[in-house]
Amino acid sequence: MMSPITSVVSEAFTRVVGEPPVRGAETTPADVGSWNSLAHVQLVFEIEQALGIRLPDDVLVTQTTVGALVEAAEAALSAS
Amino acid sequence: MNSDAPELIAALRSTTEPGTWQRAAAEVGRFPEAFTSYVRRTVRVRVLATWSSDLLARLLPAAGVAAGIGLEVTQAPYGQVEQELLDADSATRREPPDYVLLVPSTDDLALDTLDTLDDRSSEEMVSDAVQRWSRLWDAARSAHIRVCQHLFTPPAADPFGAAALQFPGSPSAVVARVNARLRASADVVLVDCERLAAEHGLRDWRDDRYWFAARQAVALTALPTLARATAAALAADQGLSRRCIVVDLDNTLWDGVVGEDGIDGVGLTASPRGEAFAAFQEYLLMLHRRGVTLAVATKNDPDLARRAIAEVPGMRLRPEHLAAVVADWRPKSEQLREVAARLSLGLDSLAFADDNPAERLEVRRALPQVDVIDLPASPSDYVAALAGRPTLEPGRLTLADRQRNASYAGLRAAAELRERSASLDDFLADLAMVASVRPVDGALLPRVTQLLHKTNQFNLTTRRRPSQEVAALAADPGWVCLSLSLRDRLADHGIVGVGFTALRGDEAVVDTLLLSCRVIGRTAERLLLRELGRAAAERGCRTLVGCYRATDRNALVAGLYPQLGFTPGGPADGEQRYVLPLSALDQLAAPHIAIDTTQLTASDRPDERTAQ
Repeated sequence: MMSPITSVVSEAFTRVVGEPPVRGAETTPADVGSWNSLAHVQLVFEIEQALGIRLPDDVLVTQTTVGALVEAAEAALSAS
Repeated sequence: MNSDAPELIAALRSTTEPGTWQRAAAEVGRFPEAFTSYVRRTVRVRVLATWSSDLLARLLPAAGVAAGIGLEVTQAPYGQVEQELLDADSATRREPPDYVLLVPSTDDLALDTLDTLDDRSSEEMVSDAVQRWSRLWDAARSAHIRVCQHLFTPPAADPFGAAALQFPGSPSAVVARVNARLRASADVVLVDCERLAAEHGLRDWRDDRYWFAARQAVALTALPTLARATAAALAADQGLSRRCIVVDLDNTLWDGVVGEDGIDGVGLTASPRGEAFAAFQEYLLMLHRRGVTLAVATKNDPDLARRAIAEVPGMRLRPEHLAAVVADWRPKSEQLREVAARLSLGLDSLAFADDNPAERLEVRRALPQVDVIDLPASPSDYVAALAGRPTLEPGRLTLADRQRNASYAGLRAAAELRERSASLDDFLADLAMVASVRPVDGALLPRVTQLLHKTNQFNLTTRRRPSQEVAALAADPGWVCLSLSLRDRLADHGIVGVGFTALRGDEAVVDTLLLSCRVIGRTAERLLLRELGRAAAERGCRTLVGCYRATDRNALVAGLYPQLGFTPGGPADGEQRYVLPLSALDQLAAPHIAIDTTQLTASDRPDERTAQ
């Protein structure tokens, strides 16, 4: 059972990257060829728009995982 | 999927909501054929940017479709601006696009190095920036590529705060000075990002996190605004802007239904709601002064409608501002057809504003060429529905644009005169037309180029030449390039005709012949051809060769040359050719038009703005 935030992130991921996160929370850019820096910018933007939040600067760096995005979104939501 | 196209187009014209734009961009990318009927011309655009412009480039085709122009977009590698334009071996120069889109970032200016209280330092920075981009313009021009230039946006944070513009060396003032100088140049299509960012909100125009992480100089929420303005500027440059706004009356221009509430019951002075309608009329009036033609299509009793326009208390629009008033009980789509016919405009030159969703739907279904504006529920929001609409972008304004409205008023009077005159001959004689035919020179160039790009119906060959090429032909001794201006006793129409001939031994080939639709049926084409023929005879030619190249818009003139006594000479280069011996030139008489060889009318002087 996915948390609501996890499903927002993974839907945004699928829309922007063109396929679902293949290894769930563990998915990294190395696993998905089309998760490039351009797609990453869009992905962060879509998550921010969908949840009405502002993610911290370090999330915009591509060295990340889907799980880290979910955690950052949860933190931003509970802080707001 | 195709059934979504009209809704998507309507959304793109009225909103900049990022989600809508992303969906539309994906749709236009995936099903381009569903949108081809909205594209009136296609151009190739190469983006040369100093920031990461991929996401902007991705939105441009959708923005183009909304503005009526097909945009085939390619991108130069990030930051390769000089390399692409100055190096003759670059991809841009080897395969020249129609336009280069130059997309700078305020960071290019290196504002951090500015000694803000030293005037010399700021002047140096301003002139360096202007020089950099002007040099790129020159390079593009010599490669026959047109330039579309984004201007700079001021930084949202300025150490001088809200007082910044009082200090010429502040970052904001330097940006404003660079922009002012770039704006002063003619012949470049400008996208004024300073103004756009102010409209959008300077603080929201850029998100520094995205700049630091991904060199994204414009926030993703602002990209639709930027894409839309860019496409609108390109479409306007191609002469694709709507020329006429047709409005409804009841609950559009005034508060209520005149047939029920009476002329005094729909007034604009009595209430805050009335003021909102008055403000909308004032905005329409300003568009009119800018050169947009206004007309009315209303389901009303014709006499009541006319009386109400003249007599409703507080009206800002007067009868003389309305080029046509169609009032009857037919469907709006039929009324719009009549407006178009009366003004000699194509349906794709019309925008239509009506408060009634059912009427809008009927027009959108019956006449997809018309830009249907969804007026919001509250009249206070009417102005915003027109402002920023990509289809209403002004092109380079010439005096002729403003004159057109005066000319339409003259046309209306001419139509009345025609009804009173017994025959066409009497009518033409009554008009007391005076023409002046002059070789194309630098001063006439903006208007002549504008006509080459805008004229569709009375245009024998529809060759859209850029102004540099026209200038070159005008200076070429092997060519005769003439313009014709016309005035009559009702209006001064300004420059309304263009004719070019190429002199080739015995033959003078009429490469270009066009008339503005305002003066069709006035025999001015005879005069223009005769003058072209005379000039050719003086240079030793013996035959005038007319060319007709069919387009989907110029059937009107398919039979022109035979009607004028030319004999068919068979097809060549996909065109029909017709010949007339120059010894028979006198048969091209235009007895109702006097020639003014001396005096320049005011209209022959181009607008100061474009003359720079």
